[in-house]
Amino acid sequence: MFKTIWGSDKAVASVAATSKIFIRGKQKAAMTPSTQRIVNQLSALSASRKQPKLLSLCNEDLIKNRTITNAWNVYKRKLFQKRDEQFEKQYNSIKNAMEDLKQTSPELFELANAKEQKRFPLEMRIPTDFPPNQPWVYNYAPKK
Amino acid sequence: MSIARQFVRQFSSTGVVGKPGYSTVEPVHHLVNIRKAALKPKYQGLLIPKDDIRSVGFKPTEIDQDRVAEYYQNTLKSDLLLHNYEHGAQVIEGEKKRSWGTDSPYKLYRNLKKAKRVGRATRDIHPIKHDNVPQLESIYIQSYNKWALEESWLNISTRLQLSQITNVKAKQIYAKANILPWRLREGKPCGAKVEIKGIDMSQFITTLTELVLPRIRTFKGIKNTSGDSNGNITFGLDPDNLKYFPEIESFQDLFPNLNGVHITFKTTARTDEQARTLLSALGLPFYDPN
Amino acid sequence: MRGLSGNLSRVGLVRAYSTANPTVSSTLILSRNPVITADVPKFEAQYYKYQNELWRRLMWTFPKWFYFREGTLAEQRFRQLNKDPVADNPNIEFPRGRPQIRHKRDRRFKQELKLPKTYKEADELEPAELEQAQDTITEDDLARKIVPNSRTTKADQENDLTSLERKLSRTLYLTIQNGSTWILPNFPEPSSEQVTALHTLAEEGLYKIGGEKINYFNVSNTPCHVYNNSKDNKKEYFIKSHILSGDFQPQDKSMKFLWLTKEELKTHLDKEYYQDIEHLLSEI
Repeated sequence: MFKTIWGSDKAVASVAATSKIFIRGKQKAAMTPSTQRIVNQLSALSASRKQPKLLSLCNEDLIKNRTITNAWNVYKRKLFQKRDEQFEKQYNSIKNAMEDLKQTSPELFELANAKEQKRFPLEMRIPTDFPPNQPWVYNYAPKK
Repeated sequence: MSIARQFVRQFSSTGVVGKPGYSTVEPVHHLVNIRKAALKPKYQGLLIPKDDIRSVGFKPTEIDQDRVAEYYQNTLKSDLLLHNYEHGAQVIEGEKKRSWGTDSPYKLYRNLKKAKRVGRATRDIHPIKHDNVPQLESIYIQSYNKWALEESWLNISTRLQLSQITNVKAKQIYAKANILPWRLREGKPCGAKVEIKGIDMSQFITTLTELVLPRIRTFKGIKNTSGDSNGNITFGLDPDNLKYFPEIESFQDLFPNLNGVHITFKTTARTDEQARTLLSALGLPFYDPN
Repeated sequence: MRGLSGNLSRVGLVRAYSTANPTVSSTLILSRNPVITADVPKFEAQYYKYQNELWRRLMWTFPKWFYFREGTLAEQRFRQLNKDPVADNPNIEFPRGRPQIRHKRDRRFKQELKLPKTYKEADELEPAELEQAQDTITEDDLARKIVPNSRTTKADQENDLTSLERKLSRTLYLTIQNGSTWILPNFPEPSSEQVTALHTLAEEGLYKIGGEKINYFNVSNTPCHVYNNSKDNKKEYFIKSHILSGDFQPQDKSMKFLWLTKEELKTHLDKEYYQDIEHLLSEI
């Protein structure tokens, strides 16, 4: 195809050598595709020319931000306190139950305090933002 | 009324500057070396903690509802508390460094003797209570690239690949030893590592357990023998398995050479068994190697 | 005295207790864990929005030259959707500050990106196309528009308290009716020679009243609470477990059961009983 339009290779080469075409800007050496890919990868990884401007809040915005942050910290602290109290109660209640069981029935206590290797089942899933098409699996067949 | 500006001396300038005569005060020779340049006013901003919005390194962490962390707090924590409860459990003391004796000042002030058996000191194992329920702290991912030892630019791809799957910029790791058969030379870059916490960790866990691991046909689970006996569990993924990460799967032509990774789950559990139970609750399967 | 107690433990404690001492029984806390994430309170949602915007503002510029190779069709589509920002021109005054363009992003603001869609919205389609589209779109079509399912289900609308599909964002607990009062299912230790472990007792009891088609996970052999029921002279040890799949189908047709959240339990259960077990129930 090339040859049919432009004649022979030699002719093209001679034209290119004689006529000087002006190209604006810095001349870039041609890169092989693999080199280009590495350059792209490095540029994707590096911070150069990709960082945004630093935040510079005015005094009013700083005070607003501080107020919001303080409110959030208070909110979180209360939440954690409430949670921790509940866990403490749960722990004390386990301890109390086991102490009671030890007095009531040592055999049952032995069975309850026996430790075994336990794994949580994979069916226990981390909750998702939206339910699956079938929210609950009903057709469970017990293993024989 | 004089409006002369009062001269305030910064820590970075010496006291002699701005004094007309000479001082009769003996100079103080500091025993602690102080880098005065670090006290320059322009570096004061670096002292601001990173969670403050005025800091240069500020990055918001609580940017969305964290479903893994919430699941742990709402459901798993009380289950794990109950599961790990052992009635009448005592503190199992770890090996500690030992004294040489007190009968002579030489022994008293000598560096302590190594711990029994293991040599290094180990921590105590406390029974699980409401305040020390095992929890996932962070995930450590590292990838070793032996080809990068010869051509260091090959490491770029490894670093980018880790950053791509974790959303955190990976750090380069360097060889620490000279081992000729492996062509290891001290200081040569040979892979990448990244530690993820918070919402990035949650995102990684859900991607791993919901999208990646179920699609690996040969994956049986993490070995029940895995663990460093300190409550940290490690497993590895082959280069072929890594392409199931959706961030890599969609751009396979950009990552022609994938590298296998080691994934370490760093937990607050003190024994491996507790850590394995915790991880199984987060959706990671385990199996018994025979 | 010592001889007597030693003798008792050998013969079987439970039978001895059934006469004088309270009966040992096992109560099952069977919960259905949340299927979807908890509803976010307004304050939390607002805070997350604020932090999220800050996070986006501080993000690095998206390296589009890496993900969209120049000259490809994908890159062209991406370019059509994301117009370049207004360039800085020294001859023009910018009332809101001079743009600082780096890699075709104004680094003073957050970068907003639009990705090419693989489908057409309903209002973009011609009526003729619309009909065709409805026929052709299938469940397995990867290019289809993803529409998330509703967070409220049919059971929520009908307020069906016996359904496992109600209140997907909350933990539900199984309660059954005992005479006129609602209780958590309770199973007394059989008065035989052998003792049955508390968790086995609870499991067998559950299968007996609710059928075998329950996929059930027992958290631990350890009881998490003890309740001294002075009315029935019973000691109730609580065993915690989760239902994973399957359904609770009462074997006795006259038996009534409900799946309730913590707040609903407060209204259904006996006041003293609820206060005793309140801390065991999940807030979410």
